[in-house]
Amino acid sequence: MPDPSSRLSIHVADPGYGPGLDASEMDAADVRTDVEPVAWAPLRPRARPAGELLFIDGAQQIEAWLTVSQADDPRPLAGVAFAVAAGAVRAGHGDRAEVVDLHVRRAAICEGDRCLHLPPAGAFRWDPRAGSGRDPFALARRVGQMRGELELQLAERWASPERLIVLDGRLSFVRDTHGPVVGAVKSHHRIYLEGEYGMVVSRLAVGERTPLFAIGEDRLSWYQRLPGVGEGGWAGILRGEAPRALGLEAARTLADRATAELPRYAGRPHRDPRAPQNMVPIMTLEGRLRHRMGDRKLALRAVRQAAAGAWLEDAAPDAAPLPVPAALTAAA
Amino acid sequence: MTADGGPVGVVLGHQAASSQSFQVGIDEDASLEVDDLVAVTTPDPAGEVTTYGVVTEAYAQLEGASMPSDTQAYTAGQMPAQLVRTAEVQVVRVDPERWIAPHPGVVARRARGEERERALYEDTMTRTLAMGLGRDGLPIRLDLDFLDGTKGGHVSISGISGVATKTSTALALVRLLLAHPDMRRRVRVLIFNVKGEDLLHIDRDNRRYAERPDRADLDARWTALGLDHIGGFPDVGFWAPPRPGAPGMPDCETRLQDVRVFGWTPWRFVTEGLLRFCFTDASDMRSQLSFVEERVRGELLRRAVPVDGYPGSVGLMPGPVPGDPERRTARQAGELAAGPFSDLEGLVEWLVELLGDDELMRTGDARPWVGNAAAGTVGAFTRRLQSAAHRLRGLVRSDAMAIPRGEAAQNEPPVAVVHLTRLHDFAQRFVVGTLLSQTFAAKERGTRDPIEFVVLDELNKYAPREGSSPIKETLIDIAQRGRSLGVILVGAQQQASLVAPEVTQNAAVRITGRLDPAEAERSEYGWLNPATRARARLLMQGRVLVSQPSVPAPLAVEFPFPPWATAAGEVAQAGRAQDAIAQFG
Repeated sequence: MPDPSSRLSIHVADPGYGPGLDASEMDAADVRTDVEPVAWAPLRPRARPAGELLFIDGAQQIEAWLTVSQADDPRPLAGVAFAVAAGAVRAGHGDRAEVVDLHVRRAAICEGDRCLHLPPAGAFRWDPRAGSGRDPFALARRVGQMRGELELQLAERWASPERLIVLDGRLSFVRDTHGPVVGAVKSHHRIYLEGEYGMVVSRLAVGERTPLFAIGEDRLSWYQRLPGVGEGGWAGILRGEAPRALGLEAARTLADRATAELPRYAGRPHRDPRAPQNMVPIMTLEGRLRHRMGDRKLALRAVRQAAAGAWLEDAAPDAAPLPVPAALTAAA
Repeated sequence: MTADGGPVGVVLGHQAASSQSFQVGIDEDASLEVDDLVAVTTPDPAGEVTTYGVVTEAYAQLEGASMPSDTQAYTAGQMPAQLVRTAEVQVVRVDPERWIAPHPGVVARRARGEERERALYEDTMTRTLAMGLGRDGLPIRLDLDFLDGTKGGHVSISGISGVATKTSTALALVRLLLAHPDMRRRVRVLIFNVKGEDLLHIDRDNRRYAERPDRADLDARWTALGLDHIGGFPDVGFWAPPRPGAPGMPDCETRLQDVRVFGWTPWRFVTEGLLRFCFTDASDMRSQLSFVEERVRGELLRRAVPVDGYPGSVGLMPGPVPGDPERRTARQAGELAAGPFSDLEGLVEWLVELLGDDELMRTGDARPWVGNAAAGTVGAFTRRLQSAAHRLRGLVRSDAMAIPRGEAAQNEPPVAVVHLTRLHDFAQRFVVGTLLSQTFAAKERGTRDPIEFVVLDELNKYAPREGSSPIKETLIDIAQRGRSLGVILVGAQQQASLVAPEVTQNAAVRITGRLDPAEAERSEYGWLNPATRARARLLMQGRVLVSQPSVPAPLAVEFPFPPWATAAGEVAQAGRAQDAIAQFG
């Protein structure tokens, strides 16, 4: 019989969502642990009335890979037709959480400077876009970038001093934002805290966080624990990010709010394979976004139909962000 | 066509809409409930089609919730979800008649005004009777052609007891018929009171009605149904059997005033062959008893004569008397072989003695009376006859007054209530059988107008599914031929499955109140669709589902609280005072 005190703590993750822990993290920015002037130990933010939260998430759907051949050019161009969506869930302001904003955009891009125009087919319409490089991953990056743009627009629209905006994932696109925005990172591709600093993470209880640490020049970050899967090791650990531009005090306030209020929205393991880090509003929103992007097979059929009437145009309608209507849509 | 109904939602397309049914997604600020009527207009390429339907079920769901616990997360404000309300609509009509499915996304509106009329096929009816109120508070109309026998007739009402369905519905129907401008002079009604003395007060105003806080609203609703005088039935004749020991007094407790005592004279008993209604048990028909009864009945008729100085009594001659019994001349008492008999007991006593005479049986002199029937059968017959005489005591006597039927009823009130409750089951059958057969016979001889409505509860007792009896035959005859002769049966029963199918299947108008769940599953209720069948188990007081040939879907109909008294305790004070005066002077 093994000694219970040396029992392991193992976090179990669904393999369908990529590795939970991957040392080959691309983010190689420096980490500094001396930003928050407190002792390195779990911090429990003092209780305060819960405020309004806004969860923002985006989704993308590649609907067709295209190969564009031109009569006068022996080299075909790679292209993609896709949909991106972003939405916002407001919670904590009243009784019920609700989807307050939801947008779906379709676009077609191909390598090079020219825009690929696809005529509308059925209910499908694609914005012609340019600006993809010629390397193999450029198209996919461009799709991700457009999704990020859409999320950012929502974050900016909903920014308000009292409202804590929680973005799903790293603050890749909003590091310069001055609003109260935090990123909630589910997976730990890179372990930012080593040695004794890292041990503090294992000791965190639900509702506690580590002191802030800086990642590179633009982000402040912390680890916090969510309920539902035990309190040992890295189970239920979520990493928060806030823009460093906000300043230390504002970042501390945001980290404290996130630490105190996010456990309430933790995903439940029976419901979501990515629980608890994939929070309930985010999970629901993601499902809604995927649904609203429409049926992929139907989209493919539409692209095939539209491809017959497609053309390339030199005058690039610049890489302006995808338009979002000014009027707010109510719950979708 | 006017479309004055407000939009309530859109036709849904997450599941296919069909020409028979579709779903409506209800707008956030709109409300749609079961029984509401909706209309949708579909821009079909071959021409616009308007589909009318009735809501058969309503649903509310959280879109986005897929697990039971999601709802708790939603309530706790953790999970966003969308409350979605939908309604299942059963199509009742398409106009023009092209059966296409309404297109998803098309706006559904409430059918009001002219559209409501079209949804309920009122535009196809030439004469209507407002028979109750729909869910929208407006009258639901019955096609009179299918009630008065023009194209169809007969009403079958089912429902468990005690939730004011069967009797209340029948009474409301009768009351509204009597208020109908075209029908009021063409209608006669015969109602049997088989429960308590409830129907002995329907001509009085209802005290509880007057005390209701929503009195004005009730008045308005009855007025909408066409009731001109809101209160008791205006003109009713009440009949009760004679009180045991005091044949001049009606056998009822809560009302004595204006209640007449009914009965039949021995002369009528013999000439109309009422003996057959003493043998109405299904088991009688299987045995030889009916054969003996038939012989005895025939022989009595052949020998019967009226007796001079003994009105109503019957005398028997030694042998057959020729000619129509109705035209036979009165004889002196001295000429008779037997009698004069002034009541049933005397006649039965004589018959028992005759048939019990072994000598007479042996010589064959009794042959005309009993044929070749075995002595045991004759013995059983006489025993039955004796018990019949005992149970019918007082109903057959020479000074009895029959309830007028046919032409004789011309100067009678249009409604006759016959009080049966206190009679033995056997005597009830005798009275019902006799009156039904007299009513039918009068119609066979006479004209179609006025139309006789016969309201009979516990039809399962008089026309049971199994076995045969003279009453069942009369009822089947009425069900099959009555509508062309002008006799309309308003039959009620707890379980239609226990009633002879010939009777229930001939009913053009079918009504059901709350049903026993097992009963609701039977094929007799095939006219209910699955949703309304489930509803039938939950119907509240005063609510019924009505099916009529002109409308291909059952409709929910509500009867307002009745302004006539339906129990002694409901009689308004003025009525009670009259009673007291009548009783104590």
